[in-house]
Amino acid sequence: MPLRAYLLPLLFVLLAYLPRAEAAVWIVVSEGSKEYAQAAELIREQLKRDDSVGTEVLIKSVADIAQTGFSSVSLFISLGSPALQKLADATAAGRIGRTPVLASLVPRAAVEAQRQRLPVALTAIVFDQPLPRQAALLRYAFPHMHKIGVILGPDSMRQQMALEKAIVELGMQLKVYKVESEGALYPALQRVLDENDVLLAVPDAAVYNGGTIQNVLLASYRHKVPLMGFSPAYVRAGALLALYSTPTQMANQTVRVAKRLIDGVPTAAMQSPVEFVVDINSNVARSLGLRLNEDALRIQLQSREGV
Amino acid sequence: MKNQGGRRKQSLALGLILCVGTAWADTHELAEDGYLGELPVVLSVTRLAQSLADTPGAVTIIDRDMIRRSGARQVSELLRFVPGFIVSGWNGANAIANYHARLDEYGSRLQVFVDGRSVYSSLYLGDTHRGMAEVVMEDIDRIEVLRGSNSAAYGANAFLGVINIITRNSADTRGTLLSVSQGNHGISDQTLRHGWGTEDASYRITAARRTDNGYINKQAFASDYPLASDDTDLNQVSFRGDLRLSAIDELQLQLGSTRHKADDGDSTFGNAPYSAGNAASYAMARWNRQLSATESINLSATFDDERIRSTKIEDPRKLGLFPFVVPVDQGGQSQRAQIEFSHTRQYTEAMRMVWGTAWRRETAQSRGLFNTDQTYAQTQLRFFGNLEWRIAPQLLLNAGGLLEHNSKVGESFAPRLMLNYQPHPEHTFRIGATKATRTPSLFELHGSNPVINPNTGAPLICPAGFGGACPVGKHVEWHIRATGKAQPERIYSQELGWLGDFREYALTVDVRAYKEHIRGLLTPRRLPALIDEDINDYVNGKDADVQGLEYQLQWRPWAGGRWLFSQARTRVRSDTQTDLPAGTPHNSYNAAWFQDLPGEWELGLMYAHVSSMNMRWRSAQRLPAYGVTNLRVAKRFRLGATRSEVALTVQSLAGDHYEFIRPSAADPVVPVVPRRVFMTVRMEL
Repeated sequence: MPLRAYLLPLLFVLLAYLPRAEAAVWIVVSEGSKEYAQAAELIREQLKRDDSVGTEVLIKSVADIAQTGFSSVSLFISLGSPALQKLADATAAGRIGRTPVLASLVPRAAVEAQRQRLPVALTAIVFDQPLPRQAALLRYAFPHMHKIGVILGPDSMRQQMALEKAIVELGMQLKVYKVESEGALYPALQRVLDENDVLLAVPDAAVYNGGTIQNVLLASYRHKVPLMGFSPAYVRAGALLALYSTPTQMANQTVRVAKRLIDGVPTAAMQSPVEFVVDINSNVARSLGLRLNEDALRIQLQSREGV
Repeated sequence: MKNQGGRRKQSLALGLILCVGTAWADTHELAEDGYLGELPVVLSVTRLAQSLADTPGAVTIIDRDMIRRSGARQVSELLRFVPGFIVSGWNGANAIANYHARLDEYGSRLQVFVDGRSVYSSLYLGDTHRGMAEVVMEDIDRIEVLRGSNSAAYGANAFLGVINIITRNSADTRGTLLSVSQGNHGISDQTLRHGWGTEDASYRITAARRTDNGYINKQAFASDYPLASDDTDLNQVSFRGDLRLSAIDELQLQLGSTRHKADDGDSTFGNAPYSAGNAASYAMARWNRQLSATESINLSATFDDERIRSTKIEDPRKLGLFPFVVPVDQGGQSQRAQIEFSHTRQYTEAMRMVWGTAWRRETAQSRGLFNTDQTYAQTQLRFFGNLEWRIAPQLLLNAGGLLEHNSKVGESFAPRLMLNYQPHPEHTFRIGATKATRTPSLFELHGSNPVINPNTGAPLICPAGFGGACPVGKHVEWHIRATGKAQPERIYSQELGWLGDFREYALTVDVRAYKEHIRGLLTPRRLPALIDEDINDYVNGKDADVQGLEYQLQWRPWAGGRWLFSQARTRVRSDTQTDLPAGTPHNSYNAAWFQDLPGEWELGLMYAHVSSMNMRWRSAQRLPAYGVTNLRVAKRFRLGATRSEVALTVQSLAGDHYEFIRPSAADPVVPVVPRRVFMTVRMEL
């Protein structure tokens, strides 16, 4: 027989021995914050520990998405909005196909922005605390204050109706001040502080960022209006209290949801964090003459949610 | 973890992407920066104000809400809310707020600050009533009144208490404000304010005018001057700038000028009505730097200038004494410059310390007050410090001291110790003691005010032929001829206090019981060499013991409602100044109810009660207890972006009444406080 006749079977044999890329879980990590890398490690560790997850768990960087070859990936877990964006780009270029994507450590706004470009099989765990929980915390922390003020910017304006519903349902009054750009912030800030008892910070880069936060905190302190923020940095900076979920808490939730996705169990497409932290700046609380207990408030919120 | 594949190709691609990636990261913030990013510490410990439970003393806070709803036209009227203060005026143009009444007729035993600038007059007796009148109501953010001596923190002259008027940051008053009040008895006030700038550099200019015809006279006996001469015409302009020079530096600038015309004169001794004019200007710069989250420094410089033009006309022709009119010059000018430095640091979680130093120089020149054209000056240097030490979670100690060196009277030391014990979040107990001093004013040291013969320029002497009324050769009137022997007055006080903070009832109660021993009150005493004449030196001759109970209540019983009640029971005893006790009412209280009504209507009802007293020693008649009711009704509304308010205020609802003094044979013409009704329209654009 000619050499050619042996080539094909040889090829098959060779192929059998080539290292086969198994169906793996890829955790795509954004750059820019060490929280992502830490969360990725945590997720990988917990997934590997679970024997029911038979696949490999690999941590990839955003750059790794740039190339092709995803057929062996069973689940993408993206941490951070850059990673999510890269995955969306890959989907648009047709390289991802129908592989499910679990987006974590992202704000809701970032998910909404990528919604159209991502496959239907997208599940997201977002930073945004559920509005009923935020409203409940306001109620428990400030029982004598009824007027809640919010400043909404271009990114957060879509939350107005849901906010109103959550606040009014608990017997409080919501006043909304809309700001199109940073320049319009300070007149709105003046009015919201004059007319309300508490300022609830709703995340929006045009309104609350490193450049504006100093003025927002100083002005609200001058007016003796407590500010409720959404991250530990806010409390350190001077916000009276904040409601947020740590990257660790979100990583734990990501692991649970990832397992369900791997097992093919249906799960909600957009999920708010389940575990959370109530953080209080005790110096500011004392200065404002307010008495707040972090643990008591957290327990109150948890029992309200039946946890 | 790298995947299989061409590593070289991969690293090139990675390199390219990293370049692009970094560029991207520089120009775009990560969407989740708000959640994961870092922020600077803005409200550092040194920036935060003390809570009421930690304050070393009883404080009454008059906030903007109370100021607006009270309908008050000047600061003295607001002090009704503070237990122990009696508010009136020696005439309609000179409003006085006295703490412990007779002890402090001109407010010279109180320290009054406007944004940290002391506003007393370097002329005459260091009175603060004019300085207090020259603050625009609309610009005030709040007034903090600390009852009881606090020289340790606020300097000598914080003898009986401290009034801290804090104006609004110019960043909070951007836009335009117009307020107009019009009413009876000549009430016509206007305020126009414009603020502009950004949060990092904001400014405002306020121009205000307040005019009225003062009180009215009810004649018990015939008088040459049926109408009280006590009109007010106050015009002022002020500027404030707040600049954020950097992330850690702030600068506050203030400039102001006031022209205050106050009429005076009554019909005794043919004292014709006349106008006193006071022109005051000031400039202030205050720089604050946050050295770290736990340390800050403050440097301030202030300058005050005051010119008073005031000529009383004594008309002895009616009494057949002299065939000419005698002008009595009460004018003069004074200047004051002060530089102050302070350092604040939170050393540990439990310990915070403030210390500082201040230098002040003041000069005064007045022919009428000093009988010379010479300029008198005094300089003082102060060192102060206060330690806040949380000995245990429930026990806070405030220990402070002030060392003052005065070029005229030497050194004085004023220590203060206060312990706050908070066994339960709702209860705080205070116990403390303090020693304070009041330095003599330049007038008390060098004053000399003979009535001058306008023809000769020498002190006016009684001519022959008038017998006992004006013994021949004696001076017609020479009340004060100070020899410079005056020493600082001293006060030792002890107090016990309780603060109850009941959150679920929205109720706070503050009670203060005190005992004050005042030694060396400066009072006029006849000079021994001139014992036949009524010529006096200021000597530290009198003592007084004051004991009392003061309390205040704040209650928000339902949404939109606010109740305020304050009461003071005071007893003054003095073996040496026997008329003093009568001058302080034993019991005074103030009640206020502010209520929001549907449809953006507001109602304010206030009642002040003062028990019987005798303000002026001449009068034999004791003024019986009186009460004053004030009412205010207002409607707020919005027209587009404009917020407006129309209000009707009635002061002394029940009608005209006497305050401080009632008519008698010795004082036939006394001021009567009229019922005042005025309408205010206020617009914010």
